[in-house]
Amino acid sequence: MVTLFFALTIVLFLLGVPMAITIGFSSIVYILLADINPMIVVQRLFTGADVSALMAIPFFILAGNLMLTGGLAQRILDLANSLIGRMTGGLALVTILGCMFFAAISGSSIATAAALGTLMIPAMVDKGYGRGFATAIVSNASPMGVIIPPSISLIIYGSLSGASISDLYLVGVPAGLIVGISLLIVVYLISRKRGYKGTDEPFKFSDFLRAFRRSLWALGTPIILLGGVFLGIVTPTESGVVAVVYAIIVGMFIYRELKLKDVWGIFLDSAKSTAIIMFIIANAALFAYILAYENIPTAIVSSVLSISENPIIVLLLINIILLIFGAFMDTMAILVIVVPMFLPVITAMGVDPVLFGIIVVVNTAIGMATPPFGATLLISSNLGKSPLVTVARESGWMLFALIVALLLITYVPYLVMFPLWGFG
Amino acid sequence: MIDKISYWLDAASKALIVSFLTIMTVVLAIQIVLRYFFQMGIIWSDELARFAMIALVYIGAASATRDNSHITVSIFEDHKPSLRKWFAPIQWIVMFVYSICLIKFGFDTLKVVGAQSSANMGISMGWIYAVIPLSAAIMIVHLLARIGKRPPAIEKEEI
Amino acid sequence: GGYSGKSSVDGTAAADDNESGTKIPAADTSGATYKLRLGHQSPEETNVQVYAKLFKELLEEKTNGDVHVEIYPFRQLGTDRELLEAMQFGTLEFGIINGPPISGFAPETAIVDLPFLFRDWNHVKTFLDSDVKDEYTALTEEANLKMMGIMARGFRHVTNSKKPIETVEDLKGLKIRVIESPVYVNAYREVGTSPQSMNWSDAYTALEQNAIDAQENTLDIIHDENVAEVQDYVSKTGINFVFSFIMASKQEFDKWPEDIQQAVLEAADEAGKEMTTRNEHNEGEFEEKLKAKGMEINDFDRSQFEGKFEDTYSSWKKEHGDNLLKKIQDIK
Ligand code: NA
Ligand code: NA
Repeated sequence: MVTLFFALTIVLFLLGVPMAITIGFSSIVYILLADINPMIVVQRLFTGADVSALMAIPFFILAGNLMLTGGLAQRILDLANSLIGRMTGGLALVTILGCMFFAAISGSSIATAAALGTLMIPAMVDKGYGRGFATAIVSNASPMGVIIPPSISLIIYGSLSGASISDLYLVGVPAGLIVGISLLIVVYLISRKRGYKGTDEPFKFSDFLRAFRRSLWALGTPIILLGGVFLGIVTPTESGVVAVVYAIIVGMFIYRELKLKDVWGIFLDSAKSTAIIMFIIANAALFAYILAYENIPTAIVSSVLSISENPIIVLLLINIILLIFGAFMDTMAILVIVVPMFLPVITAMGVDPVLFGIIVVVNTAIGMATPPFGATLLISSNLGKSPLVTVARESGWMLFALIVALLLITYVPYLVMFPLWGFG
Repeated sequence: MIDKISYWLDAASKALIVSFLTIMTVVLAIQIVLRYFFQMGIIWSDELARFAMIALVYIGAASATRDNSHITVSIFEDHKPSLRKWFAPIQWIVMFVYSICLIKFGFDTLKVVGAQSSANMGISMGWIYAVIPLSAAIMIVHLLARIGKRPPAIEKEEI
Repeated sequence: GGYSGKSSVDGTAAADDNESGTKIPAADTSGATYKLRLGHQSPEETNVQVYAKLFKELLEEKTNGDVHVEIYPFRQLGTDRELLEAMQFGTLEFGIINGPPISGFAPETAIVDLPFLFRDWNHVKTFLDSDVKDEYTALTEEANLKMMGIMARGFRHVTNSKKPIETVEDLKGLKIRVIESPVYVNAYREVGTSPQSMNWSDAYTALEQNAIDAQENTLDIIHDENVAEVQDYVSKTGINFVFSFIMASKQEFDKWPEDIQQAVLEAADEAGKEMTTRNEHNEGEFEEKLKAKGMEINDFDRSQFEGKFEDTYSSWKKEHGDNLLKKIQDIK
């Protein structure tokens, strides 16, 4: 019956039934066939959304959208442009650097993709970049939104695993840098091969200084958000609220680009995105219940451990499993289902839960950009008006760079764990 | 007729989800200010914000059914758009049956959880759980309003 | 969801830092007629899991293997509130539940959460051996839940990062995370603290960063949840006492033949008694362990609480009367 359950899920997926309803519907079918009281369906759907840590999702999406309209995102890009815009592939590199900066003020990859996609894809196309390539850059770089703190994914992983969110944040910075640098290298090489030119304007310190001054309020955001968390003024979930309030104040009163009449639309869009994402999470909680009820996590743990108890091999297996899940499923659904399955294996092998957290989050971030289903892939393809298949094809080398970064983080953990392990 | 009902229900849904998001933001912002500046705590703030979020999720999910913006893996349809007219009825039926189940199971559940009160605000859990069958009912209206129309495009323009 | 780290009553949502999380249950269930499930929300290296295993062993032994119990620890099937609901639906047979969430289902059960109700461990144990206990456990019947075994877990003490709490005055102004229960919140307000609403994983971070000053828990949980890493002082305030209950779905229970029912009741009762004895005994041990982890532990003269909780009690009496209350207080 478990086989039937999985088969039904896959078939409905492929028939284009919405993801949330696919996993919800096949779970309902299972529950009816197994003669379990169906009230559990409604309970799981309810409690799947009844989680304080999940409030980070609406707040960070809202904050990101406010920062886009309020001019914070534009100023960050101007700054990135003054730094590396002149190089070969200038605009492409600026997009990646802009994603890194924006990731440091936003907790959401979706918001990052929306901000950078809106501003940079048209600009790159204007300068002669291929539309598919321009779109693919945003799709592959915006997942850094959840690797570099603040981060919805790190908050949720922390709440699922009990790992300290501030430790996860500390590790997220170097992990994000590794991912960002890998992407910069690959995109630079492609740009050189294809002859995408930079602005060729010589670097002028005064330009940089002006862009820096203009973006000061935007650059101040990570200090306020992360500072708020590290100094203990707000919890990580609450820092999303601070981001919203800060973005409104800066956008409305300092940059004066956010108008009161825009706010309704931004709230509506953000609420809608939240609902769409969390509807999947809630249905994933129902799905996860069936897995637990059938003791599937235990079975997986024992079969993984039966292959090998060597951490190097087990981590490789877990990475492969996560990348496959990431191809088809939403990040939050993966976190809800997979973390409880693998955490016991990981702790048994003596791997630091914080390290495992960053590995999981980088995996799910890659999943956002891999076809057939990925949040930033869908959004970028939408904003860039470029077919998914084209964006996916153009993503090839960038995905390769992301996977190299993932393997570095997995197998040279010191690269990311040094803020916790020290320099000894 | 059903088109009109669907339209107005959706307008109301949108107003509701914006209000819920506003409530969440305001309540938690007040909580932070009270705790940091006045050493005070509101004990029900987290619960209220969570319940607002649950309502937002389900009412918003119903709204996403109307404009077909649920996240979907549409590899085959993207590859061969002519498949859409075969897939759409199946998608419709699955969503319809799903919604019917939520209404049926939802009402049964309300009878049990109605007696339970929430931990902090002490309100009946029945009120909160009711959002699930309610939003499923809204989904059904939107689905019925789709009958006879061209299969809705998946929210994506292709060039 | 069942796996999600939302507010857990006693803070069992935090890190499972044990080294033995991969025990695979491989029991031979072939002979069993009844395959029953027991869920709880605590990690595997806690006394709740020990309690669950003890109940399982006793029940399987008493029924000569006719009953097989499968244990689902660590929120696999949900947190306390969800487990109680699942028992009401009949989708779960057994759950081990920490006291306070039950009051959402049967409000009067919160009576044992009243502050400064139990004088000491002896008072608690006499209560558990009395008829008053039966009157108490009957409270959940109407909610379709059977309360069977009771494990006394211990007094809940305040930990903080500022200074040892020696007088009620020291509690004033303390930003403290308390569990989600109006009785607890009222009591902590009455002694001048500022109770905060926060799920445990947020609370742990907040304690780590000093966003809040204090939390309250039993010694075993303070130990298991690594509170020592984020707090310095344990003051044995013991404002509340907390129990964990083996509960059953009444609708499922009523379906079983009488001999099984009898075995279930006996196993639950025996497991509860045995665990109560162990917990009282282990308190000293946990105190030593906490000291070894660098926490400073101080006694607190609980007689200071005399007359301090009048509002909490009068509002309780207004709502529920004082019939059962008197009976508990009068136990000598
Ligand atoms: Na971020
Ligand atoms: Na993907």
